[in-house]
Amino acid sequence: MNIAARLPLSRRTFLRAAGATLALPFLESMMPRLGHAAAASEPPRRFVGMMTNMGILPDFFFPKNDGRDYEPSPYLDLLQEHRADLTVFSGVSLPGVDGGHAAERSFLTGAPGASRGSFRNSVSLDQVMAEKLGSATRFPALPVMIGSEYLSLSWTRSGSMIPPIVSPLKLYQQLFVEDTPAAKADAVRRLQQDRSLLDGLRAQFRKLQQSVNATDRDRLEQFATAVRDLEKSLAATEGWVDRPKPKVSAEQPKEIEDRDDLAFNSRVMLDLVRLALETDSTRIVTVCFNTGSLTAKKIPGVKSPTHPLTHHGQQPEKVEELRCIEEAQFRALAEFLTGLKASQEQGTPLLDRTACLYGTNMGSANAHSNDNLPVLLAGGGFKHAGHLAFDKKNNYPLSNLFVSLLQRLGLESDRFASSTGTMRGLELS
Amino acid sequence: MNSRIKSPKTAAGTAKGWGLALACLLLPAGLSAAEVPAEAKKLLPFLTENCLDCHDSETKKGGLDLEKIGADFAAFDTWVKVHDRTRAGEMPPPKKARPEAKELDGAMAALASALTDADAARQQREGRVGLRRLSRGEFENTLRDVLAVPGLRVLNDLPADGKSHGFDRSAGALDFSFVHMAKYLAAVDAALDAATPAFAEKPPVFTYRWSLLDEAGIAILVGQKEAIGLIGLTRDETFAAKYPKIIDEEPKATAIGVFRHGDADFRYATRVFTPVLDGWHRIRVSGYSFGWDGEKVVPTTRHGALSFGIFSKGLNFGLMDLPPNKAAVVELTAWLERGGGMTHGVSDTLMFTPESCERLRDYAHGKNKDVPGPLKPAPGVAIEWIEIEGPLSAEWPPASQRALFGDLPVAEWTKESGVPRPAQQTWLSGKHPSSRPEDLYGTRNEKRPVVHVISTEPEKDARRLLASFLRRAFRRAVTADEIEFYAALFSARLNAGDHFQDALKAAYRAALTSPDSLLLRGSGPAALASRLSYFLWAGPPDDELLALADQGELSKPAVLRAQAERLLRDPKAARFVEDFTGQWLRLREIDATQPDKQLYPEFTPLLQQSMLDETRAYFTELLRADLGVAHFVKSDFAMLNEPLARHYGIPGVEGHEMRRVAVPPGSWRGPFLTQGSVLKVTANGTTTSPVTRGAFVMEKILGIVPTPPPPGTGSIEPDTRGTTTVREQLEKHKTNATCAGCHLKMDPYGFALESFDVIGEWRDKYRAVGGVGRDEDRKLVDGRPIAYHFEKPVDSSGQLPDGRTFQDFVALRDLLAGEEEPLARAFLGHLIGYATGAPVSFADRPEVERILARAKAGHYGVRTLLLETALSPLFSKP
Repeated sequence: MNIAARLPLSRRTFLRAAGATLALPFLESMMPRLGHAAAASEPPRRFVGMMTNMGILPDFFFPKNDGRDYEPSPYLDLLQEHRADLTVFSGVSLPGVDGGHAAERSFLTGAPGASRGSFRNSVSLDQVMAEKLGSATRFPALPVMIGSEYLSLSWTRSGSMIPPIVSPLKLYQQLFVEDTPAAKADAVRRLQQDRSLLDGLRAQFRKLQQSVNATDRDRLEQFATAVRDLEKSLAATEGWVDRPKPKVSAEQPKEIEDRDDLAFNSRVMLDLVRLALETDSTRIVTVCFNTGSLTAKKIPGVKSPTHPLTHHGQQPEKVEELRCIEEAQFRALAEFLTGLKASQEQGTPLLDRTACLYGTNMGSANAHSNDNLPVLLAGGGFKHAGHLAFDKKNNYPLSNLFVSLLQRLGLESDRFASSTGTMRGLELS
Repeated sequence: MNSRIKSPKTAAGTAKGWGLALACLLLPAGLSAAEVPAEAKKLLPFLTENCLDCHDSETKKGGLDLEKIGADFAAFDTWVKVHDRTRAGEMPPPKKARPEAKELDGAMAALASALTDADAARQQREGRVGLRRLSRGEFENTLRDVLAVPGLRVLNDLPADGKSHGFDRSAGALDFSFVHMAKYLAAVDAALDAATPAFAEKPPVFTYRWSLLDEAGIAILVGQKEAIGLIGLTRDETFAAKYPKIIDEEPKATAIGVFRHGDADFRYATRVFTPVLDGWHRIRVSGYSFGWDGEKVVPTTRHGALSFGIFSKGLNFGLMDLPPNKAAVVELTAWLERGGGMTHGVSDTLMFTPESCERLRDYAHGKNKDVPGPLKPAPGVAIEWIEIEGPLSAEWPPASQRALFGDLPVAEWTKESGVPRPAQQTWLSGKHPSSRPEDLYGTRNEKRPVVHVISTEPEKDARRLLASFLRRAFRRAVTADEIEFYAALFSARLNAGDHFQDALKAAYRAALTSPDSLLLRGSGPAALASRLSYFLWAGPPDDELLALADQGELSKPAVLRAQAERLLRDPKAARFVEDFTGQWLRLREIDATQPDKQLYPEFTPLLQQSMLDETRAYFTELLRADLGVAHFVKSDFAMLNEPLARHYGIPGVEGHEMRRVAVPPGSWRGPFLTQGSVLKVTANGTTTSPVTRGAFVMEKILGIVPTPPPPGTGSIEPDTRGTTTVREQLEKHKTNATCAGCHLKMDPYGFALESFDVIGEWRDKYRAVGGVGRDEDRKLVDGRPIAYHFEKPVDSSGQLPDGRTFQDFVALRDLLAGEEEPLARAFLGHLIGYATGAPVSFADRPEVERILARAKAGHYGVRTLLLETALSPLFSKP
């Protein structure tokens, strides 16, 4: 099936635009400044975490048999083109994450007990990645949202939500349109003040090293190194202020006209995400599809708001409406992956360097259950394993996948939230 | 094994290996490998004769190969283990021949002396503790105290700290990366921002009172039969609501009675009120508790409990106790922040929870349309009105302003002021449009005043203010050079065009992130002042302590003791109690698991909070009254409130405040070992494990750190169907020799504690779920049909490693209570580890014994041990 042929927004137009921008020597110029000279020969690793918050109909998602030769389910059929590049999980969930809808806040944090009034969130996966890797790009991480209300997959260490970017126009401007000279000067001034403070601080740690014993000297070395690393990262950020933003031939998108046009809005936003990755404006993105109060009526066959549809009680006509919505979402995902696959970076498809997680917070929205989550992972340099089926009664921790992702991005990490190890059955390629 | 098969060892045959090993051990002391010391020569024949049969390279029993012992610190630790196990009589094992007591004593004294020398030399070379970074909790307290911003909350924005020997205060575990640096900088920025003056004149105090009739959300509850209108203990029968509003135009109700606990996915948000300004606020409530028998309102004996907080941010401002049946006005004080407007999620707003209510969601409600409330008996909380008043500013100008800018005047800034516009304190956007009272400063802060600090002699003022600021930030006297260093930072910024206050804040920012502020190190009076305050306040020293350090008085034992006593009397000592018990007894992990709702339907957050409060109150009471360490396991009193007393089955305790209660004769309640908090953190929410609890008792109460299980050891599958008990599953520990070595020492304590379930209730039988009977036939617990039944009986008998047996928990408790000295040694070890940032090492042991000897007469009083720790030479060693 030729998906591109059916798009109102031409896929080919975007691909051509992307091709033009890819000539930017972003990697070569950045890496040495960051002291990652050794890594310069290899394109960076990236992560896109995506969640749709109204569940995914399990019967249309999960394949019946496991392993590489699984029979595609109706939704996975839409992703057949990428079959070799993806792993579908079943029997996975985030231990202790409950509360039905409330679990949407924990999808990338794994923080348990979302149902409790006293619930507190913890740091999300993308932010842990951004802490270590974020200074390599203009945007350490990019949380975006498609839909209604206000929800982000990205959370700080203290458990505060990081507001997502909802406007494609604003996102485009932040990515590709230059700031005013005054704003740039102000940003540079603040960064320089920070660097000057750190410079003085490092001198103090160094000086202190002269008057202490060997053990303490080693400890102080750790402090001095920490200060120097932060200085480097600020220098990199400062470098971004004066560096021209990448030019893309993709046109500036319009402000969202119809919130209910889920399919169109998703495609516009995902195209911008791809452009952001292609131009190395960021390497870490979270995308939240917040569809509950939308009525995605532009999708043929859909006339009701999404949330009531999820309480379908197995009524066939409601299930059918919901299926139309979810199918449109999987089409948008397929296009996104196709775009990443088509983008080449040093001779490798961008998809091979970009781990794309797609899933939902409820195994069954109808029952508000938070186990047996429909989740898949595409691209990103894994030996994709087809359908990894775990115990449906005694779920396997999805947080283990997060540890695998951290390690894939080069972070020395052996745990995340409720993890017990790395994802069983999924190896790095 | 049969030693005859092997070739006999002779002292001569192994002398080379021995000499080398012992020399290696002693090398750090500065001896060359050539001169094998006299002690080693004395040891050689003893070890050859008594140990080498099993612990040679051929047999390596228990993994110990004395012939190939390494020359690093692992070897030192191994030698310590050899010493300790031989001293404890565990080696040689019972089946082998024992050497003469005199011979053994001589050899062990020789080994001890060698180990002490080596360890003392290490301490000499590297310091006993070394320098360490402030933990994130200490750093938060430091910013709060130095800048006088008590409501500052940065802890959760800082990366979690590593732990060593049970505490997050040891130098080796408190590492530092650029992530730390970035987050610590951000924390300093947040603190300086909060301390920046926001007003030239004292701002108005806002007072607003409302009734729950004004809260739109209440209509939902009325519709769901989870709230009713009340006039005293009479239901307002005409009170009606239809979502989303109350439709009773002239409600007669004077109070709203609510039944629903906030633990489910429901929250009582106070949508009608938004704090206008940051600061302390007084929250007052007029309310009472009432009963419900499943059909109608009835009088109750139970007190009601209401708590306020911003729960999603981990803020709980405390509990209000509502008396039964008749309204009273109760209040609490909380630090509230401006905002809660359009840009905030509902979870960021002030919420309240009727803690004494129950989880209505867990059982059916309102099916019968003739009953306006829950269909089962349930406790209720009635609220007549809520009032919030604030910010309460006892002093003007605020302490935070004086901490930064002393007595310099603050005035409104205009373009005509002739100085650059200074950065203003960050304000969240204001009130939600539908909330009250009127926001003087505009919902987008557009009407807020711009203010600034006025200095007519900037360079001079800056130096004067820096002198006093640096002294507090660095916790010591500062030199003129140091003042000049930071003054230069100030001047550079001033000359670059910054406002005076911004330039000065830049210098403060550098000071607060400097090694002088971030690190604890060194020796001398000032270092001692910091050690003492970070020990007993988890924060920086105050002016009095600093002054005594300056005058050189603090190192006088009488002065140091008096200061330690003063710090303990201060309210800030609560930080020590919370931090120490949080780590020693692992209370910080209280949230780690949730009790299974089917097995433990009676568990509520209020009960959990009460458990924490109990442990802290009990420790505080031991400290206050200097009660002996035997109270850790046995006591004639408990610290209780109403929910806990009901939980433990102790009658006559009403209301929610903690108080000292004499426990009935024969009761085991009171001590740490039987407190709900300890029993909960040592369980997993569903089942208990004697191994986990046994290890807890060993490490925390007896001070013996169990060796971790060998790799590949399986764990047991908990079974809540009731077919096997955990005790039956653990039988293998007895029969398998590899397991038995450690588990025979560890499991018995856990077996005794099997008498307590995962939430600390006494049990004679295990609860089990599934399969038996119909719900309708089950008995009710607090109005809920229980989903569990009782299965196999608990067997809490056991045998201690020394052979003494016990029949049940009470018998074990009595055995432990008789072990005052080991209990005291263990506790002192934890205290020293916490207080100094380094565990008791071999060379410290004689000092530990001296402290114990001094505390013996008073049965090792907790306060005595604490003060002796502060006065000990160990405490002031860098």
